[in-house]
Amino acid sequence: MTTALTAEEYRELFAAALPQATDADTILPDLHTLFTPDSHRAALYVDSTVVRGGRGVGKTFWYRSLLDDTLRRVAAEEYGIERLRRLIVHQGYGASIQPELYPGPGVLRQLTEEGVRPYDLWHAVLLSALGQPELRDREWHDRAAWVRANPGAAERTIQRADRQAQEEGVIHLVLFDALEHLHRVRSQADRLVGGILELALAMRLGTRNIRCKVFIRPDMFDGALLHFPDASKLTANAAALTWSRANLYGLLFHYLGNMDNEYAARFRRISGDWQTEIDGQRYTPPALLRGDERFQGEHFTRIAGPYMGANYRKGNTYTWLPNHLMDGVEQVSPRSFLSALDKAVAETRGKYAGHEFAIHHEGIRRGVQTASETRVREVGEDMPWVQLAVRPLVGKQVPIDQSAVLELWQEAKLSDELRREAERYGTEDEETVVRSGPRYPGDPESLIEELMSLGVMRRRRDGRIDLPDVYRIAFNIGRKGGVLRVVD
Amino acid sequence: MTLSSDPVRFDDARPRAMAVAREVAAEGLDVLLVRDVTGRFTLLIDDRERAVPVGREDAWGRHLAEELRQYVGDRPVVLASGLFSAEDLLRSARAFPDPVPRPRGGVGSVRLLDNTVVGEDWARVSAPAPSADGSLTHRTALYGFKGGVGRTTATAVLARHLADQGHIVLVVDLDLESPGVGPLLAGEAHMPFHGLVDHLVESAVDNADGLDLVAMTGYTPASGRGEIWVAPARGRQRAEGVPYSYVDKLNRVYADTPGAHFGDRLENSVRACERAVERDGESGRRPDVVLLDSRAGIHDIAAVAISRLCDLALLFGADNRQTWSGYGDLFAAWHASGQARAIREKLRMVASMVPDSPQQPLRTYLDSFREHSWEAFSILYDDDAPEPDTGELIPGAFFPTPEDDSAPHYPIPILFEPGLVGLDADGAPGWQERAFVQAAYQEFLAKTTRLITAIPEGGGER
Repeated sequence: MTTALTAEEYRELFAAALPQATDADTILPDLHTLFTPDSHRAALYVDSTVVRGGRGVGKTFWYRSLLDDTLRRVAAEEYGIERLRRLIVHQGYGASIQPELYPGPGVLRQLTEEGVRPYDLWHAVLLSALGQPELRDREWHDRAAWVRANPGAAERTIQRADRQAQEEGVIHLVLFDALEHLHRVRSQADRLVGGILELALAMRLGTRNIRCKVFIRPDMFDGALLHFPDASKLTANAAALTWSRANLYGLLFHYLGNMDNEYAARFRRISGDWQTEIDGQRYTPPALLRGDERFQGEHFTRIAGPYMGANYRKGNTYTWLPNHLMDGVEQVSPRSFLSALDKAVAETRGKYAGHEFAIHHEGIRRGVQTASETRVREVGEDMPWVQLAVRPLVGKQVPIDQSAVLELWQEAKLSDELRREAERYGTEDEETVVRSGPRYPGDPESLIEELMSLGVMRRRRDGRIDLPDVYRIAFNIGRKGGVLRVVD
Repeated sequence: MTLSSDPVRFDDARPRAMAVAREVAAEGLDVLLVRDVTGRFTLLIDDRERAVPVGREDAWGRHLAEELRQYVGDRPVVLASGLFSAEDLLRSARAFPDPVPRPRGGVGSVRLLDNTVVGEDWARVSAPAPSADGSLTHRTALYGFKGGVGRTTATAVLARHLADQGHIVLVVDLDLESPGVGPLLAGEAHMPFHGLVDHLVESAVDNADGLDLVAMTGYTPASGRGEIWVAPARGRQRAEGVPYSYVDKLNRVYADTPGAHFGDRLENSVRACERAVERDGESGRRPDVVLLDSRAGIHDIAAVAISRLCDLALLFGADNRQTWSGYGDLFAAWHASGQARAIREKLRMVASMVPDSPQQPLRTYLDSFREHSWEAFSILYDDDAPEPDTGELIPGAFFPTPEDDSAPHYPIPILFEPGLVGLDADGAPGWQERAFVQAAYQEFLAKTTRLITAIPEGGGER
């Protein structure tokens, strides 16, 4: 039976398949949600030491997937990367509290105050993972001190582990994630990241079977590179987690086809040749549905209609959504994309239930608004300082002169605010809430550059500062146009 | 504030005059500001319902003269009650309202009537209405602010593509000063004896019946269904001893005739060409698609073609300073005359002669083009300002993002193709089928075809 789904059936399927905007943070990789976009293949190469990606593009998702034997096998299979099957994966750092594996934020703060060299610290993390007997059951302070005092023993352990791994045909892969949680003071966080990268480079140059993989935000990577020589050797083969338009739709279709219900089964039957894996627990979309824009566009047209209005002049549904969710560095977070669609379906059900398609174009417009709010909230969770910096612009219009931004910041006493914010976190439960502040809280011009590298701001060709809609709308910041709105 | 010794220049005059007009309107009277062809202003005050208090007329006149100096008219203030034809002026369709929102209640309106020698058609935007039978002819103007951007060649390629899709296409050569598309398309076809200029001069003396204005080209579309017709700007010599005097005709076409402005006359001529296709063609149908190859620059023909004749205007340009300052001027004129909303529904940028080389990759070029285009168009987009009371944005503002590929500013590319520079169509039959031509125009054809055949908002059903 290959009956097309009705509009309402599609809506049911969307509602079941899409993560709700509110709990976007809790998406965990599993057999149903693991999607393998072609563009992420390089990020999984064992030799891709640095994997760059902004907020919400899947750094933690891949970190967790690589830690999971089953998911790693799936990735090895779908990407055709055999080396992924022969890994011994270790956690070098992450958001969860694992004091035996790596020091938490509180310990890190203490260690940096004591002046422990970041390199020694991460070296101790690595040696602990490799089973250095002297490090067992010790405090991190002592482990780092031992490493510093026993370079020869440390080197021998590395060499032995490397050789043994080679004989066994395996590779030790040490993963680092959630680096924005390392230290609330940005310069300290940069130094700590610098230590990780230095260690990663040392292993790549000095061993064959010990590798690090560092999932990192681009601005943090750039900041850390200032902290050790030879850093450029890491930039050469850094991979990036980016989402093309085709990737985003591939993800959507993957979700739709991986539900355990009759609608998903019918969706699979009408959308090409899906592969079944792992005893029917996982379905892989056909190549065209994963990545062919034309094919995807045709399918999305069945769901949302072809146009954002009466006809082509109003725009295409397929391109409109990602185009309106781009940030200042022209990236779309998959979470924004999915939450916009979730809202679009809800809006259609509420106001256009009789519409011939599952999603009404007004629902898509509304979805962008919601995605904008989602995006702002996400960034606020990771980097509260971004909201502090943007808030003085609320009620204003962009593009805006840089000098005007600096003035508004001065009026709002932003530097003081940022300092207070940092102190506030210092007094709270630092194990969980430590976040990285801006690198130069006292230097407004550098703040602007930081916001631009995060994609929150962008600079127009005439030098003025602009905000992409995905941030602008949720912050209620206007845009300067020529046509005054009619006052009736 | 300008020092009193500084002269008031042309650009200063209008905002100052509008400010005075608003002050007068605040006293409860409707005001029409009239600007003459030299740029001088007169305040026409509608006192027919409500008398002007004694002494105010003189006071306003003095105020206006102080503000405008050289730019005040001989009679600064005129009362409607003292005019013979006040109604005509006050009700003129050419007057447009003050674009600045006015407070409500007890306040008069402010309108501006701009009298110019040329170009006033820029300020009157309308779209072709469907015919009585409900059928709609899609009229698309192709315009370049600067010449030499491949507009005419694109028109010819587009006409074929549309015909291949089964459309009956009429190409009208509006580039009267340098006719081009007719011969380029017609090739071996017989050109008609009369051109658009003939219709313009003959209709002025009520003598336009029976002109053969259009010719079907010999092009056989792939689908076997479409047709391409040409309405050239110039016709050809009919008989020995009767020279075809193109320049003499051209010198007469721009004049207004009694009862008809140039814009109306041009519209009638284009309609005549459409009807000629219906009359002369085997199909007996009016064209589905009319392509108007408009001349470059700020010119009355372009003004009429873009503002009035078409429902879609493709604006050609290269990413350079002349393009953006030129379009900037046009957009500013539409904005100033209150036409921004109407005109932006019609416009779409075309990036012509787009380079794609290792030194200058297509992507980089188009990104820069898009950015400049977006900046130029922003004057036609809504001012998306947060509400003063709530600090929130009003939903529904029209200010597309730079990346919005359906927005007027978003460029549709045509690749630069050296093989097409200085093309001699007669000497290169079949040039349009060449692979390099197809590659250069691929995206342009796909996108414009869909834009051209879309039913405009408020348009009829086909």
